[in-house]
Amino acid sequence: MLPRESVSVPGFATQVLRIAAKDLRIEWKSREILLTMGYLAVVIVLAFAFAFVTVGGERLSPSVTSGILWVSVFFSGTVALSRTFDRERDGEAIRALLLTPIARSAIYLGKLLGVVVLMASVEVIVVPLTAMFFSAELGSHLLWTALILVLGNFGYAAVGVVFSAALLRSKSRDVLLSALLFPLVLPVLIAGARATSLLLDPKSADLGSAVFWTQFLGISGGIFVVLGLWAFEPVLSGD
Amino acid sequence: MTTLKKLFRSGLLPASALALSLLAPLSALAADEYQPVPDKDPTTIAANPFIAGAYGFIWVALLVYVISVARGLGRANAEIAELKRKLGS
Amino acid sequence: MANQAATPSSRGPGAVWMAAVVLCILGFAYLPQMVVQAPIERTMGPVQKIFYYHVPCAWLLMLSTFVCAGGSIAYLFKGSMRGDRVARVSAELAVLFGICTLVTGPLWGRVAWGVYWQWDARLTSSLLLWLVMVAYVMARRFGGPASRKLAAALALFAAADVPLVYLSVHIWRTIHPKTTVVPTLGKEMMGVFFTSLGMFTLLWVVLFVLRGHLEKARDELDTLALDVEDHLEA
Repeated sequence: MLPRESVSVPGFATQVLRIAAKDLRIEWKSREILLTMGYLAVVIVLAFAFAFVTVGGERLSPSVTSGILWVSVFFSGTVALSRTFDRERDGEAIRALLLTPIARSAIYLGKLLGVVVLMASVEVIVVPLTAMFFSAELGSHLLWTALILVLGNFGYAAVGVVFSAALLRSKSRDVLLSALLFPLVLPVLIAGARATSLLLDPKSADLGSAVFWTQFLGISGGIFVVLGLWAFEPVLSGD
Repeated sequence: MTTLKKLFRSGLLPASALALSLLAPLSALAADEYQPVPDKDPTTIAANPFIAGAYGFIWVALLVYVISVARGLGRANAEIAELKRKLGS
Repeated sequence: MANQAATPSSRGPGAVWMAAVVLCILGFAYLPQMVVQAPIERTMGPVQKIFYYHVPCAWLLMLSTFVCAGGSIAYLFKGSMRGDRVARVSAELAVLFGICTLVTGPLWGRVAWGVYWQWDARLTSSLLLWLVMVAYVMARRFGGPASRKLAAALALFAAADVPLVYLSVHIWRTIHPKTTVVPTLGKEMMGVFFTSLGMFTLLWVVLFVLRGHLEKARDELDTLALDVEDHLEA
């Protein structure tokens, strides 16, 4: 029995939000990715904490602390990236997704948003934990630090979703993803770590550089998203 | 959808222009760094192994590459000839 | 089926290319002499002469990356297999000239700056660019059939790094000299520099054509192997 009204395709923004919401809702049921990511991030921070134990118990410099934070965020982010297309891969749900009248770029942005939310959720735990372990002063520029982290997540995920899609059917997906992703997102890591370290340093008055690195993050993130929008569709359609 | 792509594409150029203007150079202007001095004796002999090393490395790298590509080409052509023979027979 | 005469050089380079090769060999035989006769730079001494090879290699790294990205775009959006071949060939050249740049630079730096390496913006971004092109070559070699599109995406992002590499000396305070140095060269230095640049670019073209022939030969080999299989089954 055919419906009397014709089905209208939702607007672009709605498409993006629905894709992201779908992924996050499914994820919330099991919380598998979230827990794995969180665990991995915490373990990495702990590994650094033990590796850098100093006899006198001196504080590590802000740049080291910030570096540890960003490295653990990036490594745990690969979990979200490699899993973001996992559910579509099993059961060939990817074909169903591609058959819907949703724009490919909406799929990209939706997946991107989902990964950013997952990474941000992990950061809510890991950032205070890092501050506690390494006695870093987080409170002074909390919102700014949050902005830097979110911008960094966007840049990271913008590249990562493209390669996760490209490696959809590849057998050595997890290994290849990290190997290919990291050289590309290193500028994001550098900018984010530098900006955060400047904010964590109570003595530094060099907020001008922090502004610069934040702008850098925003711009490189924007460029990566544009490139990702370009590259996503041909990469997803497969050979 | 295409409008969005167009928007991004056309937005990229002004965004890059804005980016470059925002990223104001932090360093002071450096003085001109290269000033040729005619017929001056080399002051440091220690530089020579490095110069030789640099040029030598490039030569070796290029040579290795050219040789490996040429050999690969020779092998590929031989195999092509072989396969064509098989098809022709 | 017509009996095709098997000519080993059926996929070989042509006459124009041979002329380019000869010109290259002559040029590179003469170039060291030009470099030796070039005036010695005042502050750095003779080690500055690495400049005449280092900068062309860096230029070719960036050119190769752009050509790779161009070929990748043609492949991704138009399905052009020729674009894919162009991308693969130029990626290898990017790795080759990248190694040359990253080895000659530190050798020069050791004498001029006292250190082999520093994590300043120019050096770091160049190393990153080279790493991504290495990833491209490895993905194509070991990645299997799906790696074409993956590598093409890599090339796009690598190309975005090139402006960063070039402009890094102007945006940040770096130990590496600025690009504004070149117009200030003396006349003799300028002559040697641009001759070297021209020779290296010619060399790039020669290598591009040579490697391109190998790529075409390998593609032909693949199709022929399939034909032989069908032929034997029939």
